Amino acid sequence: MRRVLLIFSLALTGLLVGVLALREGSDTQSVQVRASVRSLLGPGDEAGFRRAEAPGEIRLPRDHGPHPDYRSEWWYFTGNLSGESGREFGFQLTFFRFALAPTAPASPSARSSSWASDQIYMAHFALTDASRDEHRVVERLARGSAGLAGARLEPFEVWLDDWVAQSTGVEFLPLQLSARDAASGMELVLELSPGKEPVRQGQDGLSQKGAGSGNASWYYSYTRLPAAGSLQVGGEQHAVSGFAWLDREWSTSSLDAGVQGWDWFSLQLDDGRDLMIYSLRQVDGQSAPQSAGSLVARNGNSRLLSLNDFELQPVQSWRSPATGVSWPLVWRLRLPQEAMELEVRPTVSDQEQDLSVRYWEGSVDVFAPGGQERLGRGYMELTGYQPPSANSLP
Amino acid sequence: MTAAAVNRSLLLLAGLRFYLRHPGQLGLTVAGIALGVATVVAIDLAAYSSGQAFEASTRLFRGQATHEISRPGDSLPDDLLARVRRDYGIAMSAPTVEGRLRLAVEPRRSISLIGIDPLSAARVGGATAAFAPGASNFAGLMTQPGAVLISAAVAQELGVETGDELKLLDGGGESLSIIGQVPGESGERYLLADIATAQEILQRTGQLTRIDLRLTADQAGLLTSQLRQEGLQLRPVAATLGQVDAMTRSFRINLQALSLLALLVGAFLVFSTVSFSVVRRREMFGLFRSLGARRREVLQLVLTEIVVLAAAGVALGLLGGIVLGSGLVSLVLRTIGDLYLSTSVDYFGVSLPLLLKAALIGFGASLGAAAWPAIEAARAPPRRAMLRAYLERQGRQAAGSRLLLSVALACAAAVLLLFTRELRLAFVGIFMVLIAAAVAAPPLVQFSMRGLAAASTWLPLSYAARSVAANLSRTGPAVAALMIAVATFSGVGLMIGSFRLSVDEWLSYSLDADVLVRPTDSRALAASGEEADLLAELRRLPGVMDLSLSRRRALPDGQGIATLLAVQPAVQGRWPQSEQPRARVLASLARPDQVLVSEPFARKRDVAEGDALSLLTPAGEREFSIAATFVDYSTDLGLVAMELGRYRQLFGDQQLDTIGVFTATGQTATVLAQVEDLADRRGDLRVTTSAFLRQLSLLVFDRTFTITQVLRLIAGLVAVIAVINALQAQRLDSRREIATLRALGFSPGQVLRLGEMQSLLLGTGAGVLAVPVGILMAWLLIVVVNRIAFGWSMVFVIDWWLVSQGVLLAAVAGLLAGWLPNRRSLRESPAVALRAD
Amino acid sequence: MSRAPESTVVGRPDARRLSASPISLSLRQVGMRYPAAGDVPAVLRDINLEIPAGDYLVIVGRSGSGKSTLLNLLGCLDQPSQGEVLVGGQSTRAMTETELAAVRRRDIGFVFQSFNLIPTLTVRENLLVPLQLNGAESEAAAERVFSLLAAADLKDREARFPEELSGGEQQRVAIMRAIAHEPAVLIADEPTGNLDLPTARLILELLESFGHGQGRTLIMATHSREVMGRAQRVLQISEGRLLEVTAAGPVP
Repeated sequence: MRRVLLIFSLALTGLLVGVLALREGSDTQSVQVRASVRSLLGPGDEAGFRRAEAPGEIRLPRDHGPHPDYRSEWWYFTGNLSGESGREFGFQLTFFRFALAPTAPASPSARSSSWASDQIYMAHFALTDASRDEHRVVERLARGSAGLAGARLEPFEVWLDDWVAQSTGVEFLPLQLSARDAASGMELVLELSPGKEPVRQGQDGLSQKGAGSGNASWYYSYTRLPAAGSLQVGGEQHAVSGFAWLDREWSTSSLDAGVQGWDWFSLQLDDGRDLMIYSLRQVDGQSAPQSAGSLVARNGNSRLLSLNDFELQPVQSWRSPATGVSWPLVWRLRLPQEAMELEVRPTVSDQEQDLSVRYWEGSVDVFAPGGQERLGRGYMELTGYQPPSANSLP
Repeated sequence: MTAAAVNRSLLLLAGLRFYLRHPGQLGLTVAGIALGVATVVAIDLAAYSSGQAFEASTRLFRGQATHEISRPGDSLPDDLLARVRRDYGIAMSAPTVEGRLRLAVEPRRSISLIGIDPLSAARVGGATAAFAPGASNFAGLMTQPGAVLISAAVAQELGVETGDELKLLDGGGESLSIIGQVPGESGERYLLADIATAQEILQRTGQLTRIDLRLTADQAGLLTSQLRQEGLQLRPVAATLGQVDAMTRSFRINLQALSLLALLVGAFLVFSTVSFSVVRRREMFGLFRSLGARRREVLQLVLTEIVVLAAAGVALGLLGGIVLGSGLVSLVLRTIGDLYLSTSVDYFGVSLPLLLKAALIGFGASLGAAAWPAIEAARAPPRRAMLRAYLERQGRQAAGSRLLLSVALACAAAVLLLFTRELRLAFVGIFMVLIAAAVAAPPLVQFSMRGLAAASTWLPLSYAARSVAANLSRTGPAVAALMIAVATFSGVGLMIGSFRLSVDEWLSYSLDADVLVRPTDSRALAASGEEADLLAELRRLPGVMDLSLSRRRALPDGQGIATLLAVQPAVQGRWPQSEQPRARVLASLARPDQVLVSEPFARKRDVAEGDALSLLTPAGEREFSIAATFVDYSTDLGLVAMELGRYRQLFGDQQLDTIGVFTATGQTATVLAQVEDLADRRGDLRVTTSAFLRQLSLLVFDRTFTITQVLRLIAGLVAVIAVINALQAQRLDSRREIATLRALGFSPGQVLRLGEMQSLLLGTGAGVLAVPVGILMAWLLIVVVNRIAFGWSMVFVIDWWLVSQGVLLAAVAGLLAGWLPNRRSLRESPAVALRAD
Repeated sequence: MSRAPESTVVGRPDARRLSASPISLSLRQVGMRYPAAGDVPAVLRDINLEIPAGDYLVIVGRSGSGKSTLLNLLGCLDQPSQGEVLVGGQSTRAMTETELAAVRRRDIGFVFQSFNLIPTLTVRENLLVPLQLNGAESEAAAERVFSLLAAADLKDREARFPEELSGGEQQRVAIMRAIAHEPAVLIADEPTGNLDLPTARLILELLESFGHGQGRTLIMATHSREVMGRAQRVLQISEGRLLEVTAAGPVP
């Protein structure tokens, strides 16, 4: 589910300060540049776009490819990796697609320039070096034309510059992820092998995000994909392996008013179970009724979780020295029906990502509450948190 | 009153009252300074602003780009950016498509359309200028065909705003929609569009103008070698600026020198007015001296006066120069665009240091011009009055030494002009020649007037001639100024005329094909291998005698400034013309290791026939020998020509730029129609006639010299002012004489005619003297300056009609300028003038 | 009375050559002020004067008394602010500048204190000017100039420019120029003012012989007592008014 909310909620709260800023590691470019594309991701005109609503279904492999008739879409890869010497890393490689205007699929573009495009791609590439307590993230944007960025189905590929996720064969899996960024010194080359079958979130993939038909997204996840390859960070090359998680989602909806942000978890437990939970956080502090999740068993069978099925509680916060935002980084999670009680802690506190959109996205460890024994690893995403003095726009 | 009692401020008061009583004198002096300063400021500002425009367009939307990929005279392929990013991992890269177009609202001036990819531009930090925080026009730019942002200057000049439509002048009624304004109030003039829109509007789909990059040294090294294999060049942005600088250097120096020439002419005017004011007050100065004023004090007085006058003149000149300059800048930019490369933006700004410089030059020239008269004034012996006869005699004695000085100056100038290869020094030489001529002018006019008087049997004529000669102690400086102004007027005109004639002649043989065909997408044509079919089809058309083929590209010598021209000349063609017989030229072209170079190339690189020239081919450096040089005015940046087949073999470039179609006599129209038919069918050809191209070239030529014509105009203006000055001096002098004549019974008409005859003689005398000086100046500009600056040789043709225009200008100016003073002298009762004794 | 000692018969023009008929001049209630309007004292006031043809009139007075103004009026160089000037019985008031110039050209000759020769013309050419103005045929004019030069003993000076002559020589040329066209009236404004005494005497004699001596009216402003003694009439001008003093009478 998650990133739909990420984008649209942020647009609503006016946090989207601009996508034009290119930030490389700590080299922050002039802040005033980050400005003008607010409208790009804003709550634009939804007329003319398709909406996620029944009847409809997710069909694979067809739906691995792009859906330009929906307003937004992403391919969201995250995962935790281990190096040979016991070093632990987290990675995020995300491709977003946004349509600036609906493209009528029937009429071929009247425009003669091959640069003409209504599609914008944005990608985030982040590596977390848990052992060194380091985290880097880079954002890139490109138009979906002239070969700069795009997505296609057969063979599957989504790319922006030399950041690429592509099938190595005719099948969707195995997939090769590769991304490098000269300025920050990050590089990632991973091969993702088939693991658990994809899980259709919500009602057969239709994930309701707000009241009313169409306020939903198509959403499926590969919760556990064995990953192996290499990465480079801080000038060191590491052979790595671990599990990746892929979220695929496309939609044309925005969040209900009154939803301030969300807290989202994707946890891969050592016992083979995978858990996805998100809570839509309302202005009144309550979780919105659409908050949900899923629990995927070792064998791939999944069970949907609704708001009543879980309890989520922040227990400890960390204040970002860079932005002043107080992020709740340690959480208690209870699934009474499963008799499951977990504590989620970040591997590195500072995995704040102050990009076009400010959010916290990072690798986490899973423990029993108060315990020291690690039960699993995962990724957590927090949005909608403001610095105390900031005047958040309604 | 003792010496000590002579109060300096009283002296100054006397001086200033003199000017206040003679406002004409005041006006002329101030006007002379103002005119000179205004010209310098205007041309300087225009040159400066054009430089700024280049700088701005180099910086605009480039942000922190360190390098660029471009191909002067050619475009980049559409997919290059994706390859640069994906294959070479260079994220910080941004494409641009630039071109100029004309809007229906402003049909006489073109405007630049800059197409950027906003997301890419942001990567090199270059979109900062384009988008205001919060502006939401980004999506509109990308998605709305024909959407543009306008700069503040455009909004102001065209009076358009967001929401308005801009109709294109050509292109089937297409129009652009203004969806916003680029923030900021800078003076740059441009339209900003999404790169796709720009490609479509400029009809450059598939083409990029350049790619800007922000690179580390390692990346640059890697990319350089990679791109070389594709025949592309990676250059530091600084080098691009340097290239603009190198390309336009001669042009700019020429402009500056011309502005200094204008100042020189203006300085002569100042010299003449100040001299006159001093000569006129000799008696007063003599009186001051007899009252005990020291020479130094008189000198100070005159110099102080001139500083005060110069201040007024400089102030006026600065103002006028700014106004004039704002008009000239687009002219200069257009000229640079025509000749070298066009800026993406137009710009006009005022530079304080430049104004300061011009002010200093103005003061310097004024003081310099006033120095001699001031010393003269200081030398006035302390006698109450001096007979003018004494002055005249002194003048006559000085004539000999003047001529000697003039000859010495001329000799020095000749030596300088003969041996220098430095443009600035060449202009110094020309200035020296002019000064020599100016020094010699009064005695020469005097001699010729005396001769005329002696030869004439008609008393009024000899009287008039003699009074002109006699008055030269006062009118001499003005006559010199007039002569210089007229010489500049006709000299510059002659130079332009000769140049134009040469260019016209050159065009007639270099544009020898009758119909020209250009593939719109030569890349595709080359790739598809259809070229042979096309050529065969063209050859088959009835009336077609032969074809010539050519390909132009930047000379691969690492500098990228000169042009490489690969040609397959037609057998019927006359290209390329050279001093060598055609057969030999063709033969040398056919030889695999030989190239031809244009004159400017030979001059700039200091190479000659037989020398070796090394070019960078995809297979590495290769030596060629220069078979001959040829005349070429298409560019002063240099042209190297080689045979097309050889070029294709060496460079692996199969594209064609132009196909020249030679038609049988009288068949041009029918062939043209058929070729146009073919172009319509195919849709990838553009057809023009060489007659049209020739017309266009001459249009460009004339545009190039518009600014020089402005200079001529200023010289003409100076001439008129100088004549007024001279005649004032003369009229004033002859006040008593006129009264005497009237006492003797001369009727008003007779007195008037005598006066007019004097005016006419004075003007004509200076005008006639200006003839050889003007011709010499034109010759020097052609033979010395043009060769040094541009490397062009040209025929020197004296257009006698133009020369007589100069004389006519002087004569008519004389008559007109004498009109008022001549009539004023009649208004006064002779009794009053006689009493003034 | 020795008249024109150097001049011989050759230089003495006979009556035949006197082309202009005798002319009388009169001033009627003439006043003059500079500038013409405004509250300034008049230079001349209410002057009445009859000068018959052939008169020899001397005007004396202090500097600035109005002598020159009076002469300018008589010589048609200026128009009076009030009253009328009659030349040969014709009022100048109605005349245009061109007609005035014609009167000057035909009937009047001027001699100035500072000679006022045309500096850019030679002696000969200066003498030719009035002749050409009056349309003399070139041969006749040349002959006339020749005789004038001889009369003034300036034959060796004919090709010189004025600046190359002494003051006395220049004034001789000026006198010859003034009578070259045989005017009826010769007006001399302090003709000896810039000259030493012996030269002045010479000049006076020349004036008398060529001016009055040939039946012309000679009007002269001067300070010279000697002249007053020889004139037929002496007028004294003082504060703009005219007092007639008889020729024989003593000068106050």
